[in-house]
Formats: sequence, C-alpha cells, structure tokens
Amino acid sequence: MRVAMIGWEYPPSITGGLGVHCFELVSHLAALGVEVDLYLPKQRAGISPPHKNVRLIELGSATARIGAYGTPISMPLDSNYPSDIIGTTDEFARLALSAVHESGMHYDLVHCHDWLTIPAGLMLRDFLGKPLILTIHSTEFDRNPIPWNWISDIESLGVRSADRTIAVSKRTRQHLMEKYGADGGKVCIIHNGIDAEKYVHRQEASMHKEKLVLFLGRLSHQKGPEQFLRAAKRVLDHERNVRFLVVGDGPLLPRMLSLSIELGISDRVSFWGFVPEHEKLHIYSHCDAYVMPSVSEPFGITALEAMASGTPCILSKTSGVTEVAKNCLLADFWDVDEMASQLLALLRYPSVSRVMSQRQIVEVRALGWRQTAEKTLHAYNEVLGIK
Amino acid sequence: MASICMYFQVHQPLRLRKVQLLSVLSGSMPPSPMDAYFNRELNEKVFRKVAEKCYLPTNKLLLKLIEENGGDFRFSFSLTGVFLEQCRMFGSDVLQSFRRLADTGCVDFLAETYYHSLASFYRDRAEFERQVAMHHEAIQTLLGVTPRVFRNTESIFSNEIAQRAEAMGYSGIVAEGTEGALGSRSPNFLYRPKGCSRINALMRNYPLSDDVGYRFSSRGWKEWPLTAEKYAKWLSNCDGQCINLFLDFETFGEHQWSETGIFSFLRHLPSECLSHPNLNFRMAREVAEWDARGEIDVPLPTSWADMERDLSAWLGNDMQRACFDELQALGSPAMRRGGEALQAWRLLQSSDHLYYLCTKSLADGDVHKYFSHYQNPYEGFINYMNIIQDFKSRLGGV
Repeated sequence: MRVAMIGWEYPPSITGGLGVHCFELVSHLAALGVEVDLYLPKQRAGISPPHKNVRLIELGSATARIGAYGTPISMPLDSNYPSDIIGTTDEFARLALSAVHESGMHYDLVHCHDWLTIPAGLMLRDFLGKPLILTIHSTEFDRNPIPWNWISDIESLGVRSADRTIAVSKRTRQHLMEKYGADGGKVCIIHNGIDAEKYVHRQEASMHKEKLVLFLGRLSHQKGPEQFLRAAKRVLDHERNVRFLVVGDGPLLPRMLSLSIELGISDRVSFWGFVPEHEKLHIYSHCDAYVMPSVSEPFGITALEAMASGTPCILSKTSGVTEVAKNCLLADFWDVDEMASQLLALLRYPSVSRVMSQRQIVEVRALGWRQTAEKTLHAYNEVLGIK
Repeated sequence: MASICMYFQVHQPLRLRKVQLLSVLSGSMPPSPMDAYFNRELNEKVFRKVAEKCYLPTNKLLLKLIEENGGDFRFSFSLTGVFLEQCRMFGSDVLQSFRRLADTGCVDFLAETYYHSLASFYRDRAEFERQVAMHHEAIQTLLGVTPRVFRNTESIFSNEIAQRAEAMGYSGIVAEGTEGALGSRSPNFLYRPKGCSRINALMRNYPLSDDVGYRFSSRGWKEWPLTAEKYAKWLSNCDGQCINLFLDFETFGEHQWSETGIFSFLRHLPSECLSHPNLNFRMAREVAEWDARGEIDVPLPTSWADMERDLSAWLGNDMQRACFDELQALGSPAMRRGGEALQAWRLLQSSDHLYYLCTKSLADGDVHKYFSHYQNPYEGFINYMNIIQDFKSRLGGV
C-alpha cells in the first residue's frame, strides 16, 4: 500500500501534537509495511526520513514559519509568503498537486491532517480519484475562543468530504458531529500514543530543595496559561518554596509576563520559552508536578510525555488524553482553587506522587504509537475494502 | 444432611464531603467536624435509594418467606454500626423492618466492629475490643438479639483475630473459605482456628456464594439464567455440615437489579431447597455450636475482597497505608477530646475510605470504581488526607 500523506510540521520544528503525530505515524506505518510519501511545506530545520519506506517531500520555501496552530492574529507571517493564510494553504495545495502530477506516482489513498492541509487533500483526492482520510487533531473551536468562520468552513468541508475522518479523541469526534454535522459512522477515534522508552524517569527523592511545577505548551488561550499562574498564586500563598516553570512560546507570552508581576509572583515563575525535544525530556523528569489547564484539549500529548516521565499530572477535564490515561488528577480548567489544592496536596503528601508516578509509567507503556499506526492502517483497509 | 447457613452483610458507608486543601489551610472549614467531613445529603440520597430498591422490599419478602415456611427458613444478618447510624438518621422504617425479622426468632445477627474498621490491626489493641463491644450492645438494644458469632470487618480473619473473638466469648467466627486455609478440604465443615479451644470458623463457600452475588445476571456465564431450582440442586449435591452462603445484602435489588429476576430467585429458594430432604436452613449461631471437623492455620489475614482475598483492597498501596497510619496516630488525642471529635475519628476509620484508594487494575479495580464516588483513587486519597490534616489541626496540631 502506498499513501500520499500531507502534513504541515515535522520534527524538530514543531509547535504542537500534529508534528509529533505525523513523525510517529509515518515511522510506524512504514514498519507495518506501508509506503508513505509525506508532503510538507519546506521546514525550517533539516529533516530526514525515519524509515526506508518513508519519503519526505518538502514543497515551496520556508512555509513552515507558519505554525500548524497559528492564527491570523498571532502567526509571524513569512515575508516571502502571501500575507493571507488561505493563500498559503491554497499555494501549498497547488505545489502538492504539481509535485504529484510531475512524479506520476501512484497512490492507494490520500491522508491529510487538520485544516491547513485540507485544500491539498481535496485537490489530490480529486486528481488521483482515490479515497481521502482526514485526521483532525484540533478544530477551530478548540483553538480560538472566537472561531474564524473561514477556517471552520474549511474544516467542515473537509470532514464532510473525507471518506473517513480520524478524530484524536471521543470528545473531538463529538465536536465534529455537533459543530460540523459529521456522519458519526464515518468518524473513527484513534488516540495518540507515546514513545515511552524515550523519557527519563523522575527520581522520587528530588535533589533540588525547591519544588518545581511545570506548564508546557503554547502560550495561547486554548492552553490556559492564565489559570496556571492564578493557581500558582494560590499555592504560593501557602507554600513559598515552589517554582513554577512556564515552558513554551506563544501570543500570550507578554500578557503572562505582566500577569505574573501583577500577581506578585514573578520571582517564583520562570518563563523558559520554546525548548527543543531533547531538553524537554529532562525538564519533565525534574518537575514535581505537571499541570495542563487547557480550556479545550482535543488530546494533549504532553500529558502522556509527563506521565512517561513519572511526573504527577493535573489535567483539565476537557482533555482527550484522559480518555486513555487514568492515573492523573482531574480539574475543571476554570477551577483555579481546585488546581491549587491538588498541587499543594501533591507537594505535601509524598505517597500520592509516588503511587501515581509508578502507575503512570506502567500505564503509558500500553499506549504506544504502534497501536495508533495499526488502528490507522485498519481505517485505511476499511476504506479500501481490504479485509 | 447439609445445612444452608445464609448470612447477609448489610453496610452503607458514610461518604465524605469534598474538602479542598485550600479550605483547610485558610481555616474556612465548618466548625463541626461531623458537618465538615460527612456528606449528609449524598449519604441520605444513597441510603434512601438503596432502602427502596433493596432493604425494604427484600426484608418484606424475607418476612413473608419465614412465615410461609413456618420456621424452617432461617438465616442471619450482619449489620454494621455505620449502617445502624444511618438508620437512625435516615431510615427508622428500615430499622423496623429488621426488628420485625429479629422478632420471628428465625433470624440471627452477628457481631462486628461498630465502625466497619480495620481496628483489628491497630497498635492500640483495646480499640478493637471497644468497637466490638459497642456493636454488641447496639444489636442487643436495637434488635433484641445477643450475637454469638463474630464477623470481622470484610470477613478479615486470622488465627489471632479468631483468638481475640474467642476471648470476647463468641462461639463462631466468619472466614473466607480460601484454598490457603483449607488446602484440599471442603469449606462445608466447621474448623477450629489454630490456637483456639472453643470457637469455630464458618468458612464461606465462595464459589456458590459468588454464583448469586456476582454471576447471577452475567449473560456470558454458562449457567445463566440461574434458577432457584437449579441452585437448590447444586446445594443438595454438596457434602458436609453446612454450606455457608455469605452475601452482600445489596445483591438483592441493588447489585443485581430487580429486572435480573433476583427477587424471584429468592422467593423460590427456600421452598426449592426444602424440597430436597437432605437440606435445611440454620442460623449462624446454631451452626457454630456443632463440632469442628479439623483445624485451620491462617497466620496471615484473609478477607472476602478481590481476587487476592487478603488485605490488599485496603492496605495495598502507599496511599492507603499513609492514611491508615495517620488516622491511627490521632487516636489518643481524639479519645482525650471525646464527644464529636471521637465520633468523627471513629467514623473516619470505615474501611471504605481506604477501599476507594485502591489502585489495582483489571477486574478488581472495576469493582472498586463501582463502589466509589471519587473520580479516581488519587482524588479519594487527597480528599481523605485533607480531612485528616484538618482533623489534626482541630485536635491541636498533633
């Protein structure tokens, strides 16, 4: 089987789960014997295929300056590129089409990821006359408090046109049905996975005197950094010897910096900006708790990363990852008091951190990307009528 | 001739309120520990629901069956003190229905720890005896029956616990019929626990008990549907002195809903059993007086919970052990304080609070989840620990 896959990001330059997913998915599909050509906008950093069955085909120049999770408000647009994002995705679609056309390559199906690649997916599907699979990692309703209609229109069109849509969680599937009128029978749920072996395990008797609490994600409304800082304030009212790490970049960075000053906790909050993958592994393992206060989280791969490191997690109840990972604490994203109480409990009661940590490490071992790839292959076979 | 010795365990936990650590630390907890810790509204709601689905209809049916069978249908109950407390708060009608059964003389009531606690493992050994004495007295006062057979919390049993029950004057003690205790021997005989001279152990026949308690409504079970006629035939084929069928009372109408046919099963069970000339029904106090047929040696505690049938359902992980130790340490100050503080300390001892913190996976974890009102064991642990911290500060920062 040969698949024309269309992605947007690819490690090491990634801004979220889509890039990780595409890398892991093509690697594991390839290991399952599927030949994958992954079409991507030109990436900022050099990339190389993970397997002999995978070809990475970069198109255009430096398109990836636009993050997969960017919005017209926040994204730093590349000067070489048209300033409208529709133009960007359409241009990418045209580039993908001409690349496929020129190569004369035969494919069994087309698989694209999220709204940025939907125009390309639809174009290739029409050109090749092959089924289209669409994975939705997040919807415009997740990303923006006030969704852009023209983006949600593209998502809606994609979901209604695809032969099969893959949602990364039950809640995303539900969204697709409610917001876009998707046919539930054509939307399957395939959760993300984790390469658990990669992660460094947290040492229980931490050498550092200061306790560390981690936020790791884009600084956007969706991820709830403001709730993180407000919970931090509540914790610090009772426990001074705690440092709060904010790892990640994003449009809300300036606002978060001023908020930490306003709350009088700027000496206890460290903003680390974007950190590369290999540093991330170590950050998790040095922290005493990980908080994911997302307002809307279709999945939340970082939660699995923290769990693979044995770092106790407090996760927003509105996150897809809680459908598969049970060894964590849950809080409503708006409930800052509850988050602070849970944090204080994790810091004060060592037995809960210990038990949670042990069980998390065991739990995530069963959530490998291999299963994600197997289920995806199953979806391919279903669409192609292969038993 | 084998006697059917049925006993029903009746317990309803007093669930805790959600307590945030921030409220504890900022001193915004209600003044009364009882109001602050126990979720009266939720407990009342659950109690009344179970009363309507299980306690009242089942007791009504049992009374009818006793009357119909003219004293040939007999059985036993074990009511925890925590359940009796809730009868006092939310269900005098429920207590009355037990009293009516007690008055027939065909129903026995067992002794327990009043607070459904793990006091048999406390360093302060006297607390166990105190709780058993409290329960003994409550059963005498409320039901007019003097217990003769002891059932430790969750059927937790060991040589030592049997010896202590014997020292308290009981003639029988309930135990799980584990392979570890019995080897290849049948549970359908009385056994003398090692180190005891008078008390007899009534060994729960767990396969036959679980056929009703767990498997009754399981459509994947090859024996489904289980009829009273079929079950009576199985019992009639058993050898031994007594077939000990020990069930959670909530099997009737709550764990097994009315729609599963469980009430119809119970309705026909006495007559179907009594139609076999080699079967009769006996109360636990009657059976306990017979001669033991051998000795059992159970140095490590067994229980009726989970696949392991040991203490791991309550003390299996670090969180559970931390809670157990912390609460135990508050015993002396709580006793010095007395009154509501002592009552709160004892009610917090209910083994349920530890049961919710179990992190076992697979089938047992599901059972724990079924019974728990927490989202997961971690939330349960934090809530319980927050309450202990608050209690500690009330007792003067022990």
